[in-house]
Amino acid sequence: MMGFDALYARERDDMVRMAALIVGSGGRAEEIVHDAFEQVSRRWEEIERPGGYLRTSVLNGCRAELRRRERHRRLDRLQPPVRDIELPSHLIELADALARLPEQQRTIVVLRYLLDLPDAEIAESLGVTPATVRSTAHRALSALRKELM
Amino acid sequence: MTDHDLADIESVLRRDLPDLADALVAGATHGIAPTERARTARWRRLAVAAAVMALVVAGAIALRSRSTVVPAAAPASYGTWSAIPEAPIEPRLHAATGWIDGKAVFWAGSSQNRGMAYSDAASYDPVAGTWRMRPVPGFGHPGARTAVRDGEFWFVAKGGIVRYDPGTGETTDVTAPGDVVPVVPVAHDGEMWVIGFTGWSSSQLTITRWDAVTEAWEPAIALPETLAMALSFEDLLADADVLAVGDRIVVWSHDGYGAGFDTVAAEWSTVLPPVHEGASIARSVAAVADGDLVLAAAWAGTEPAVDVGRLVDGGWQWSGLDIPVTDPASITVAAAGEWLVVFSTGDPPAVVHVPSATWQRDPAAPVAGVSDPNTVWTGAHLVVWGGEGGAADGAVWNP
Repeated sequence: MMGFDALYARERDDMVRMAALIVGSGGRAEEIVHDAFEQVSRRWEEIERPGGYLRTSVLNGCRAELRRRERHRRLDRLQPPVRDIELPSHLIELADALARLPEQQRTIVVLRYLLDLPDAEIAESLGVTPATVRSTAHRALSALRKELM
Repeated sequence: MTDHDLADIESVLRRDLPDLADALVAGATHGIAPTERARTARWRRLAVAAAVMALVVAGAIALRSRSTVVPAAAPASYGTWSAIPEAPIEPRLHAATGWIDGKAVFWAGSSQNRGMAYSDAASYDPVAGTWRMRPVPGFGHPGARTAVRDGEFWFVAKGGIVRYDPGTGETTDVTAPGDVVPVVPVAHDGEMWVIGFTGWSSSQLTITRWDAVTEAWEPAIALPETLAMALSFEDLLADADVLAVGDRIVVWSHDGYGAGFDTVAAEWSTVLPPVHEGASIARSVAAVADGDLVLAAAWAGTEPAVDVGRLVDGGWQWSGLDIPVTDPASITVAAAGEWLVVFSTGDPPAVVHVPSATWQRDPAAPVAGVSDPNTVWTGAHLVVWGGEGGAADGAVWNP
């Protein structure tokens, strides 16, 4: 089995990119992925598949971040996120369309089309059935197509 | 829209998602905001600390290092199992069950291959050790969900609601709420609630209370879409757990998602999903034991096993039980006061004492190997009958 350092080198950038697309912020993505690696390091000896465990931890961190953001938004304690980098217009449209997707649809789109994961692996990461992945992906693609094409 | 129609958007995503991800990450790394730079510095410091910690603690932390329950003393005994006579009705799956007038009542349900709905009913007297047929209401449905209030079953199927008194055999139609497609009734604190969807093509949960004085449903309160985003209750129609615990009514999907409705504040909230170290949870089933929401979570792998978690202050406290199971996807549970009995295909039932986080199995239990049996907790006995692989006779567990 690969060591922690090798896992870090192999997975870290992909995990940050995945989390960035889900939560819409590179800074928060780095923190979430960092926390996930911390969890992996603490439980290294117990984990059978560190890669899968890491991905699940990052997804849980993304979910917690979105919930926290929603709670803050409802309490008016946080302003809407401000985009602090210049993006080409087609990427702005894509970012906005992704942001409007329900969380699970967005997550599945990212796992499928950024990480190229098979549906069975996505299902395992999210704790749902492959059929749910397929139907959710279909709904997400239909919504994105309506907005972007 | 066909998959072919979606090929163009798939191409766009494959082309542009990596660029968008890189742009977002680059925006953070080279961002102007001081908070972003501070986070990057913190990241580096913590990454080094994590690597050091990994070396120091590797092998020193056992699975039970996770947040654990402070256990009470283990019980002197884990109860005894005894067989009960054959029931006068066919063994079945998903019967409506209730403890009514001192009898464990089993009604309706579906055949083992789930193809046929039963409409007959029988009750078992655990003191006398005898079965008795009950008047038949003349209907049943394989997908029905039921709850008991004031000695009556509330039967919900296909968007309709009927009350059935197993003592007299009388049935009463209940007008369905106008703003809920009813799916699951749940009795809570002497009142009847119904959880369902906001429309026939909707998957948004909503809940309403039956006003027993006016005999009408109150306006429903839907799970806010902001909370619903991460939750999938598509299996609510099949077998999601719906439980009353404290002031809350909790809906638990076996995929590991939960939402709770606070009956006092009239508000929905989510229940923290369980995460287990080292393996993804194959199935989780909920019950109310020892006054708390308790979860039996099974994970697959080379040594499939079940652990029991307890929801305390919004977080899951795990017991570290690691009960081995043959088929983790088959687990079901029955709560019995401070006990939880875990059933799974091919295994004897595991009796868990929740306060002490200890468990035992009796290989000679009469219902060994049966999964998803129909159960009734009488307050003194757990009556177990039918289920997947269950025979016409059943068993009683006495704590």
